[in-house]
Amino acid sequence: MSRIADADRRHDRQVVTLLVVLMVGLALAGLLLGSLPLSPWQVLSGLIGGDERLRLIVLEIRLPRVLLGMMVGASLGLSGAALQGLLRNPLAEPGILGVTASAGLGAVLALYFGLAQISAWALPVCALSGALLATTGLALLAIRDPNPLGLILAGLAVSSLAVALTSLALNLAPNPLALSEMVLWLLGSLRDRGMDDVALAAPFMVIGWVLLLGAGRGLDALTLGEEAAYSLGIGLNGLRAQVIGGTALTVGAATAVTGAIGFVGLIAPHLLRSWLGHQPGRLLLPSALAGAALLMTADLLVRLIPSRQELMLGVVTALLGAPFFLHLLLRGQKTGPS
Amino acid sequence: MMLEAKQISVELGQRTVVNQVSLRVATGQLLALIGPNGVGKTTLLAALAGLRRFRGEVRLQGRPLAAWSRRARARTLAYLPQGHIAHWPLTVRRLVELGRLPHLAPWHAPAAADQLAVEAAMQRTDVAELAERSFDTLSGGERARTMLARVLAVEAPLVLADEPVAALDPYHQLRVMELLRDYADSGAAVVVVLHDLTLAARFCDALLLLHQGSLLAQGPADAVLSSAHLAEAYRVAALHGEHEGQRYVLPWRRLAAREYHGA
Repeated sequence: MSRIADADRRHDRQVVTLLVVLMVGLALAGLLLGSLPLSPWQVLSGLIGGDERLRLIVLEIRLPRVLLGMMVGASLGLSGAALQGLLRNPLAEPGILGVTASAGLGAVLALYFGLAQISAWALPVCALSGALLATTGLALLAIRDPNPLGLILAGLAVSSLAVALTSLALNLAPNPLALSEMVLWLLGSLRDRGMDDVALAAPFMVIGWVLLLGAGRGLDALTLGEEAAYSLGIGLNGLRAQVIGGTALTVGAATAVTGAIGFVGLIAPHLLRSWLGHQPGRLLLPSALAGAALLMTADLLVRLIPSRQELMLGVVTALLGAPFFLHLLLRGQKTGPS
Repeated sequence: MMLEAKQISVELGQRTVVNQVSLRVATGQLLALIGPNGVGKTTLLAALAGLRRFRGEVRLQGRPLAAWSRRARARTLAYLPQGHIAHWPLTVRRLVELGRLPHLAPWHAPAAADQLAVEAAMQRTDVAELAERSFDTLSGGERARTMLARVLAVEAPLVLADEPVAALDPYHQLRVMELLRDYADSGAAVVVVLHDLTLAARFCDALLLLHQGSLLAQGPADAVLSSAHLAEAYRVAALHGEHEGQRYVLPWRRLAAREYHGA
């Protein structure tokens, strides 16, 4: 009898192992491949700081890019899975709460007022403040509303306002250069990011990951609806705060260092859902790993596809994600909640 | 006393849905909440589970409901909502396992005792053969029994069940009532919302008849299911009879307005 349940848990471990192997493989590919392909030996000597030129390529350019791709992808995948569980809606994704749009607004304002030129920290700090401020507003609007629709509507309101203000900033851009800087930033990229970006985002992301991964039991219970979840000892306001706060921290930090990257948070949980018995809690960690793998794959494509100008990462994820989204909509009921 | 409610009133918006209802249920008792649609049975049950704001006092094992910690309350009071909803198509086993959540230590997988409780609950409700089926492939009756198994898996000394036999065929209606009776006899208290008057009369120790949010009658079936009460609360005339020493009540025809106003 419990043999079956044990087999289930072994299956989950296998899925996680497989995804970790995939992620590590992609990370290695990210270090080895590029406009100048390196041998594993060269990467190693770059990591331990032998040759100055190799050190620069590996430690200063490729490693931060790989690490950020992993961290940002994991954040998007994890918060997507958690939000889909919280809202019991397979079409939910981090952008739905307006976190992405608000972080984008923060960044655009930093560029608009020239703060980004004063300090390299100004842009991510402004973006993160935008995300946290918007989330506080969202929480005040909807955290006590037991209906998932209330949260979705509040998120939509926050998101629309942020998008409107962002458009206003673009509209009133002081000069064409600033405009193109803002637009390019909004498209999202992992290019030219350094270890200080990793260091800035990491603490927020780690706290957010812990919050989101800890929500598994509560999200499982929500499968039965709010009232049954409450009767099983789940604090509903606490759970909502945990998922919204975790999303704000992870996605806010992600957007602060890379710009807006869509669809990863939507797709990662979907790819795994039927594989993990549709259970929200079981989906969390694998979705984080899958999100990381997806984003690292997209970034490898960006780096390896020859084009006149490097493609922006957010553009590639959207190009790959939109058809997938359409596919989900057309398949409709099959993947949706029953 | 397992559960004691004094002068419970619940307001939804401006409307008083439950008005000054008191009830007690002891270990070993199976109590039926009956009454027509919309008289506040579900609201009352939800208030007893701590799910609605109410005026009055609810004591669970002598302690006010609000004084319980969430987890301790969840281990003591199991609640089965109406409708048998699962938002994701989990397997039956995984859904029943959710009943063990109040017993699990954080970050720990279910222990052997949890597996046993899940297995026993699935056996009791005849869903063991469906254990690996996904919820969205089940019939209405199978869903109802799965959700009942989820509630029994909590192994709580108090069960509040909202219409557990709705959508069940006669065989499984009898099966579920027997099961709730057994569960009460094995040392628990059960409060159940029912529409079937005969099931209420045959299996329950006491009946509470709600009418427009207030208690119209409470006590043994003979007293509660009188023709006058049925006329006033349900606006029906019923056939009353006895078979093998047990009472049955069969609603037979609707009453015209002058008939039940006169009652």
